[in-house]
Amino acid sequence: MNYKNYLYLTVSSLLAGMLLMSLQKKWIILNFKPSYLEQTLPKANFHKKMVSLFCWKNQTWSCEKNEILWCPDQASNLNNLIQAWLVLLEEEKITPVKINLQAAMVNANQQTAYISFDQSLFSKDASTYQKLMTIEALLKTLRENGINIPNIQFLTQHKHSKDGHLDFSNPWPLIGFLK
Amino acid sequence: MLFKLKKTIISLMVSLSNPWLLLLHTSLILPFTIMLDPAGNGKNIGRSLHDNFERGATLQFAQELQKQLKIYYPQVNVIISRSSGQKLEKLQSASFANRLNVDLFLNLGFYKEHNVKPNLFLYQFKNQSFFANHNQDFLHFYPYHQAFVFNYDKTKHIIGLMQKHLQHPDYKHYFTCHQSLEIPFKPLSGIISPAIGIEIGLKHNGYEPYIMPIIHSLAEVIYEL
Repeated sequence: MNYKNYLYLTVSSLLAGMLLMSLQKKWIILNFKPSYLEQTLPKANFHKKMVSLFCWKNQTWSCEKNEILWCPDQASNLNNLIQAWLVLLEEEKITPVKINLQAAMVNANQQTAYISFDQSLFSKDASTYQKLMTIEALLKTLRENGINIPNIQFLTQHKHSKDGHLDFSNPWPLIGFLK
Repeated sequence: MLFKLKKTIISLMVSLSNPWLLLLHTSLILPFTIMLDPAGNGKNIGRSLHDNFERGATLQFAQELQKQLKIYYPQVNVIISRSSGQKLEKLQSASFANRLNVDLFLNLGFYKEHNVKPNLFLYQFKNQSFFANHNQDFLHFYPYHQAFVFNYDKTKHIIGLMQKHLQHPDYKHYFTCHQSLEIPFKPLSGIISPAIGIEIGLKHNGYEPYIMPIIHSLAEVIYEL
């Protein structure tokens, strides 16, 4: 073997080593689309939809339009809709702190939706009426945007929401309690 | 006749030895019993108001209401669900009201009012089970959260009478009484008797302006029932 071959072998080994080190140190990331992803992603066509978000402010309903992603999956729509609604509450300073949605799920027979927040939606000194109108605003938002799940169970940290004035141990009807 | 007399003597003796039974006994003798349930207790201070907390203010309000009710309606028996510093467990007030079989249960709550004109709200208990179809053909148990169904219409009638009086133009200068609401109001959960929640937005002038309107709003309720 002549010197030329040794040189090729050394350079190629060096390049291979550099490549492997780059991969190990995650300087180069190779991203191959996994086969399971193709199966789980819904084939449905996502589209943008203009939704109406409601909140109770200054003794009246306030409505804001927003554009969110919409698909035939109810749980996914519920998730996107509530995320947008929580942003509205934060912007309007209705909630004392930023509330995050942990999960929004629908049961198998599409009769009950489970909505879990990371903390309570209400400030501890709020009146029952103010608390009620916050919940009614969410129910109105769901109704007006075509979510037709008859019962909504409110959760905090994946457990029944606890409040001294409003009872969340049972699901609330989507139609709400206002006449 | 002798048996009845014996029974009354025994019941009186038992009542005197036990204050709970004495209350029960008096509630049987007097024609109308009202239970006042001030919000908060020894474990729960309630909401913060202008310079105090809800549990103290509601208890004082209940005591003042009791005093005035005894003056205006001597035939009425008024009971307060808790004393100062008493710790209550979940549903304890409801259990107390059910055992005494009171004619009217009034939960009293305050919050700090930020609006110029204070608000007064009246609540009646109603939850999702109201919309469900109740099978009344068979004997069955009712869970505590369905206790309200027994006196739903009666409560609706009472709350209507109170609302009508509290919305009188004479009081419009002092406060706004809103349309009564039927909601899952937790302090009224598990009560069989007609139960009403009164929530008042308190300003710096305290609860005094609300005592007489509430006393007068109960007049028609007491005489009609």
